[in-house]
Amino acid sequence: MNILPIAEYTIMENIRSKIFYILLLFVFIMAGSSLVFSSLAPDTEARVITDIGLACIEMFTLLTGIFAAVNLVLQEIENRTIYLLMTRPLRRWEYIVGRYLGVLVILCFNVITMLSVLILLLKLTTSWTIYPMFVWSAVAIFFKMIIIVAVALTASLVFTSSITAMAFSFLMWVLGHFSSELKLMAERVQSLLAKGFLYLLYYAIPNFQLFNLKDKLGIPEGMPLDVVSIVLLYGLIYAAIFLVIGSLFFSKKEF
Amino acid sequence: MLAVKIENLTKIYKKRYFLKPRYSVGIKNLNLEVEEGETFGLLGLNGSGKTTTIKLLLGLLFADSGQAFIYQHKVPDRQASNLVGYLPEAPYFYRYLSAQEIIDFYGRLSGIPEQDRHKKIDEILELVNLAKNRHKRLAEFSKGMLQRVGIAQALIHDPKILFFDELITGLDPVGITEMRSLVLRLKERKKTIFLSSHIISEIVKVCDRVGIIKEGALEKIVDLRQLKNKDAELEKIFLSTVMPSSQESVS
Repeated sequence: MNILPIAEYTIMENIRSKIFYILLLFVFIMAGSSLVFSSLAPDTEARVITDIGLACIEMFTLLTGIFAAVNLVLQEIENRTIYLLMTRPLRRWEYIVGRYLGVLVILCFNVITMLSVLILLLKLTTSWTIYPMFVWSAVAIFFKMIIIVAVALTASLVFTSSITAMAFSFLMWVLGHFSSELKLMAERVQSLLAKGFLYLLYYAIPNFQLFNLKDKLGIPEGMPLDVVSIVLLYGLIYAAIFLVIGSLFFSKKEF
Repeated sequence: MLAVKIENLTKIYKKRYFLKPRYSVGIKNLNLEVEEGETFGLLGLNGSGKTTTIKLLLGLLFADSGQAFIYQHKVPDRQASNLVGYLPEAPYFYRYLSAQEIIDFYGRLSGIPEQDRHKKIDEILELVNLAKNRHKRLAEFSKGMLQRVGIAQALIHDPKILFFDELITGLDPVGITEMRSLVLRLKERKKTIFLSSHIISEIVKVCDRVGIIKEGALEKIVDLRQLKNKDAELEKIFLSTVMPSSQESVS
């Protein structure tokens, strides 16, 4: 099985491509936020910094994930480094899965680092204490990445254009956050054609609202483990479907 | 024993320009056999189908019709990949890796166990004269050194057949001499070598037989072992094959 070496070199490639500079940007934004909101009441300040922090973690992880996933294979084809890989006894799906897992490891590291910075900042500037739902919110951000990285990687293989693949991935991301609205529209619209189309979108696009645990931050006792497991399973199934589609496209690809 | 067998292989490239398909011939009805231990050269002008033939044999392209075999394996085939080493024209490597790291990476992908890999890497880097530069990043390597890394990665899994596409293109005279001596050393080791080139003077120095390819069709096979003045005779045969009219006017 050649998944591991491919994943390892994906991690090394990302480390050496200075992708972690985005973490510095996060540190600057958070430091700036704590200064700006220091005049607020301590509880409010902690709440505002938490919200901004989690939103930034999500945005930066999303940008890094989509950018890295879309360029993974396309750059390898453009640079022609793919020739030496595809002439090895390496199954094409192994290459795709290895690349995918490599990016996820990088994103996991990013989330952990940004979360640690955020916790440190909150501890230093407010009387805030960590609670389970806060950590679950960051975990849920990573769960979303499990899906969106698979979507972006597959889109890059289907469209073979990085701009189109990125645009498609962002569209999926946005629509995935309006799943309940899509369903509501599908229920209310009169035209059968429009109804069918909206239902198709509703079922085909992953529902990212399921992962929005940061909206439930007011409930400090945390998420029941079975709910988290179902949400994770949902993410894994969607990712697997996209990876199968991506691998099928890649298996037909000529270099 | 046949190392390579190609039967009626055809590849047509399709490209779309504003939704309108355009077709161009890569190779057409190509038939070819290469014996085990032989050094075979595919000689042709730019765009004649040399790289297409090699890519089809390696599974980088898929044929429209016909079939090809590496030993008994019909390509594309994963087991056939274990038997071949490939060096593409102007190879590109991950420049952030060192020579040792990249050879190790390709060795891993070829399924060489870790304990054997270290020994093999030492041997191969010695063979291509890169042992002293093994920890240097590839970004610091000259073109000739990169070409030697290319040979090293092609050899790490001890393949039976080597495919070299335009091996000496872009190299300086020292690089050309190094590559030639490497090919001759591999030939001494009884490796089957399939190389493509448009440089006659180099092909005659290393090959046993040469196939002349023109516009995707294999026009002629020349056994160099039967020629006395190889360089001049092959040039004459080549020119009369690829541009018969101009050859007549030269004569």
